[in-house]
Amino acid sequence: MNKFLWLVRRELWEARSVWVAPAMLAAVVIGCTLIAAFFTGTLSLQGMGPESAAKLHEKMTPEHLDGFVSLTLGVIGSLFLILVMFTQFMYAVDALYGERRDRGILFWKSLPLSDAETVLSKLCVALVVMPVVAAGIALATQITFFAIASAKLSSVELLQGHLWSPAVWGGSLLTLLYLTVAGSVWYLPVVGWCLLVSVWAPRSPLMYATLPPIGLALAEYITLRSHHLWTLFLERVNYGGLLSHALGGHGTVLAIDDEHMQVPRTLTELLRPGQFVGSAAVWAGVAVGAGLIAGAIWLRRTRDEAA
Amino acid sequence: MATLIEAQGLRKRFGKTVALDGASFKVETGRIVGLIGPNGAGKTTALKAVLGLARCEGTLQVLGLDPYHDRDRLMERVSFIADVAVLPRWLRVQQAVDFVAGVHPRFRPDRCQAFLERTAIKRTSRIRELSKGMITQLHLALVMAIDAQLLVLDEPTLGLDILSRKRFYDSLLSDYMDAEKTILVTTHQVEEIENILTDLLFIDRGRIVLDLPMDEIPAHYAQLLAAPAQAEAARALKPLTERQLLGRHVFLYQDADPAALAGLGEVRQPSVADLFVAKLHGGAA
Amino acid sequence: MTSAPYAGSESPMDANWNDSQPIYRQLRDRVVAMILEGALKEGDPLPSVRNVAAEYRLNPLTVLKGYQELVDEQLVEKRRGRGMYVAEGATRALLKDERQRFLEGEWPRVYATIQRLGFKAEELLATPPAPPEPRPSTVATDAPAPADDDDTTSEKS
Repeated sequence: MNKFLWLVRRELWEARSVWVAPAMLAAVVIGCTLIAAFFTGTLSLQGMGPESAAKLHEKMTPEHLDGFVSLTLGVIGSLFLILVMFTQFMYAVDALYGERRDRGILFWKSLPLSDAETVLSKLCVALVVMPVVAAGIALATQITFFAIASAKLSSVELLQGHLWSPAVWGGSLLTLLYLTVAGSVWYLPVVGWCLLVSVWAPRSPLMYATLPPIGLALAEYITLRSHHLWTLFLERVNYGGLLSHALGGHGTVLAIDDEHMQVPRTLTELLRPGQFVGSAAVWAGVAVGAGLIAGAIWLRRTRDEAA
Repeated sequence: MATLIEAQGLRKRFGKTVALDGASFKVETGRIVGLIGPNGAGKTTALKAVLGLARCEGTLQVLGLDPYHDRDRLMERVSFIADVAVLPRWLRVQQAVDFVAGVHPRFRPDRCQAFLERTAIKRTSRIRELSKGMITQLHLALVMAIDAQLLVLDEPTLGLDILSRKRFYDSLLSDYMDAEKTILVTTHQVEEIENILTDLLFIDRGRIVLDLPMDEIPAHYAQLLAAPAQAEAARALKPLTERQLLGRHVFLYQDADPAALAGLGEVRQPSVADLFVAKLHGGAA
Repeated sequence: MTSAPYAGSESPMDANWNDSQPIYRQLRDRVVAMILEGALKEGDPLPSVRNVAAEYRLNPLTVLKGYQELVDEQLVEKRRGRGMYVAEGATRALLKDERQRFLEGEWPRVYATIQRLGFKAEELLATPPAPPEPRPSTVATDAPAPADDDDTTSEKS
């Protein structure tokens, strides 16, 4: 286990995308928030104008408020989850290519580390460390956002005490964690594919990772006039694909007159773990992912590094 | 274990090129073996096979293990340096030391420290900031600090200055005397190590063309310095090679009658370099 | 040219091994020379195997073999746990050998020459010869002897 931890630590030394990317996103989000709050006049609730804000004042119930807070938290969290999918892809595609590109592979292979341990440590970074770090930074961003909002809106009585509802925040945290885990399970085949490509590709692993699936989907369309492969691939790399399998429904619909908004009160209402765990697509993906990873391990062992 | 490496009939092909063509050799414990061959002879392939980095046909056992299948277990007891210092460029010196210390059960941090102290290498530098010689020094520091049973060195002193070379050989010999170490070394600078070797392995075109302990060389090989008058008689004894120097002819013989040679001029032991040239260009296939 | 930072002063052994004898024999010969010159006296320790091997880049077994020859000739003795020391009576034994060799080999020739040239022994002994001109050292330690380099064919290993 000790060796494995060292391998993970080595990954963190080498790949700063683990925390740099989410940190930068956090900076952007907070930056925009600050600008909106202090430089463009009133911070409008969900982008609505002052007239609607007045109307809200009359018609908003605590449930509505909770809903909006949940939605905001959900949006912020989602930004990070989408970013993570992107950085996971980029990391995995270079993970086993970098050691060949800088010829360090002979050094790593001179140490008592098995190919399995090596590949799995990179898998761990992609599917465990990166999402967890991103989730942590997402949470910090959410807190900061609402701290700024609280400060800015401290004069609005209606909102007092509702920006920090434990039920809402608890729901948001739970959802964040749930989607982090579900996201890793969902994305496993994609990461597996990227790792396999990074072991094998003679150059430009990014190209080798993206072009073949596109090519295959194109081939299917040309020959069979169908786009099953395209849909399949797209769904996997798409945040929407994850959501459609991991979440369900829209929770309680809170309508405000003609401003018809579908917002759950707490995000917990959207979670569908049973559906996720029971989905054939999910497990098929896991199986395919496992196969691709096994292939990556085997290839790392047998690929002959020309001296 | 008396025989550390046992290779029989190793064969390896890269496309149309044959790298190893039935190479067989043994390395006994406690020996310092020089593997010498021209470029493309199969030296590197043989080393890679021994280190589990390439798969060959034939049988190969290193420390009782199959190097290809048990590479990670083998690497606990074998340490090696490849000819091009291949430390990853993004790594910091301190990170490299910490990593090897954390991952290798037989790494001795105090020894690594002792090596590094005598260099100008800064712990916080990244490898890409170091000069080529310093990278080699660092790599050697890491490798020599490992308590390995078998040390495989592929051009270990390439790029090192004289002092560093001396220190390297000093500690190599020191280690060799203190612990039961076996060393397999390849180098183009044969003169530099020929007195350290206990055994000689010549490889050419994927085959072993000479496998001899150093102290058996005089029993089989002799060099004759003859005056021009004796040249014809010398040729009649079927030398492996002949060279002409100013006023003298130098012949190299395999298993020639010492009495016959003694009468024709000065007889002496050939250097490893001379022997190498003879076996590769003149020797019977 | 070797630089001087190696421990201590110029070693009486230089790294000029020749090809006509195995190195361990040459090592033995050099130790003998050192004893005869007085650089090593009886009871002095021999330089450690480790140091000699490192200094001249030899396999320690080679050094040991050379030392073992000296032990077999009873010029050197092993002291348990302490190392190798020049044996008592080694100088005498070596001198005796040298004298014997001189008497059997060179002396008859010298005697014949003295006779031939009509010298009287007492006259010769009364006028010791002038010390020989110091000759420049023949070879640098790292480069091979010039004679070996005059190749007309160039064969690189």
